[in-house]
Amino acid sequence: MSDGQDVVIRRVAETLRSAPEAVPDPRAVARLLSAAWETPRPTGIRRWFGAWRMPALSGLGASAVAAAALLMGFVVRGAVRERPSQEPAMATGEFPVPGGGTPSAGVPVVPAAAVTGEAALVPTQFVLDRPDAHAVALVGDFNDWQGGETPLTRLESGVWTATVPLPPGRHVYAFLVDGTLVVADPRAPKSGDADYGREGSVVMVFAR
Amino acid sequence: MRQLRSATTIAALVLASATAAAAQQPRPVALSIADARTRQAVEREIARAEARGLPTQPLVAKAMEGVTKQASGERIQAAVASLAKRLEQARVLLAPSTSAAEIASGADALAAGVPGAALKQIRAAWPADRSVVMPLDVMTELVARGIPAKHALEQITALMSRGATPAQIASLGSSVNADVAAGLAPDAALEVRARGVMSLLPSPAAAASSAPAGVRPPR
Amino acid sequence: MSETPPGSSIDPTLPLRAKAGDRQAFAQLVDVMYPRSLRFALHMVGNREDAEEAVQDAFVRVWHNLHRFRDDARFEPWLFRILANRCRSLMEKRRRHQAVVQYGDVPERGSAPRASDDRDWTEEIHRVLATLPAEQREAFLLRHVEDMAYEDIAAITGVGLSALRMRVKRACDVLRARLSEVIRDE
Repeated sequence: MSDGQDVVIRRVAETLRSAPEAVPDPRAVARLLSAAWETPRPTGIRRWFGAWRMPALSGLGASAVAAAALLMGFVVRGAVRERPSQEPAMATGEFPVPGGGTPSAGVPVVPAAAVTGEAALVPTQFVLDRPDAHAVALVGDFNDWQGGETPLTRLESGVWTATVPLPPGRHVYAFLVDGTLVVADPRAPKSGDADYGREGSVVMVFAR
Repeated sequence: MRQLRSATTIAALVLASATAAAAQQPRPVALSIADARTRQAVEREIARAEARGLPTQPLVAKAMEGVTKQASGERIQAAVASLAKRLEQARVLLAPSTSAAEIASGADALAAGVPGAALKQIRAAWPADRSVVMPLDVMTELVARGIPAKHALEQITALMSRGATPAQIASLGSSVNADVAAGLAPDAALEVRARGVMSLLPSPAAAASSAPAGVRPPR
Repeated sequence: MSETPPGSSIDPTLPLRAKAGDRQAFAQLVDVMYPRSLRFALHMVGNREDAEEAVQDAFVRVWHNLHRFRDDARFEPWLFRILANRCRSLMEKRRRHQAVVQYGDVPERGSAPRASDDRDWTEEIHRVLATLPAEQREAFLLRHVEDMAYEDIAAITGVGLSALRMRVKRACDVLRARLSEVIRDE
């Protein structure tokens, strides 16, 4: 019997493929990204300055070297791998977090606030259930409402998602569907919009 | 609309041994506004704000928000001009705070209908060197959910005085949001949740004795 | 999450952009490939904590070694080679420390509960999968669950084609023998 025609093997493969227990925990994804960026790649410092936006170095009057060191510290600690208080916030309260795993206890990390005067970034997940869309981007006050900055990724289920490190506070955002359509997050409170009359959504980001 | 800017801008600033003032005032990103008249008008507005020492990044974001939402040029200009005014008001109300993030949060609060006096009271509830971004943002959110500014202010300043952390204050805003979404009356949600956060804080006596100088005593 | 996404669903520019240092592109790669990676690791190592660790280790290594990734290469086999390695190392570590042995205690077929619904069927599959030698399980998962070509699996595992076919066949034989009865019972 060839593999492809084998009923048992086909059913085993289907069952293993659909494995509901293998649904990713968004917090694990955020931890992964933080871990990847914790140490520089061998090809140089330029790689530190990637597409993510970072908080300002307000109040820094030190030398370039010191400022660079602090910036590194911020990046290292900002997205945080092992601080329980830095589990990703969910921009949408209803998206299931399978497993609900707790982070492993790690070496205590000095809060970035201690060195920068501002709080650390909090990985924040955004989710839009829009299987019919061809492209979805996140736009908001954190990326100057620029559609090309933060694309969402389509999961197999048709759900679009992006996990973005954001500074604590209130952020107004929307989804940009297929490049032109501005859509509020159906799962989040509305922002109101006296200026342009097109409501967005609000997420309160804070280190839990 | 906070203390964000492009990473490359930060890199450039760092490498140029930026002063503190310069670090707070990056050059605005290039405005991708197709209509030249609108773009120039917005650029002038941003330049004026920069000359007055106001944060410019919120203005850039406001203009780009209009572009993304396909608003007319007039509307974009009006929105940017109006925000510039609010930033100026917020700076005065939040003095001596000078951080771009606080001024931007103050301007957002004013837009949401938070009275200027509330901004002053929030600023006064914590020492001047402690950022009030989170209390301001939660105030904005509570008012946006329909809670009278007076009630929201009472609860927030009470929490601030009792030594609540920014995260605890934020959790208040977040919980009230969830309650309101679930159908609870905003005022009732605030009262319940504020009580919840308050119960986690040390007693007023302990808070007063351990509070850093400049923190207002609890009511 | 019913079908395996084809490997071609990865935007081919993503690995190259990530290689050039674009962190957003890397984050997109993670978003796209994480579910499959986790699924494979989970079936290999048998518990979520270790699976997440293996996947995280693999992606961190990918990030740090992207400069070695050839521009004309396909990303998916490359990732899975690293991931399969991490899974093997983790299993070896666990075995040495005698902490967790794959799926834990695997009862003999006779003592397994009667597989009368999907849940039992799934548990039964996991039970049998766990009894397979790791190299057979790995080959089976890559071929039949991840739907990879034998040539790719050879590149991932470093094992010759005929040996791989034999591993997959043996795994199928065991699964078939132990699970046919369950299907008949339904």
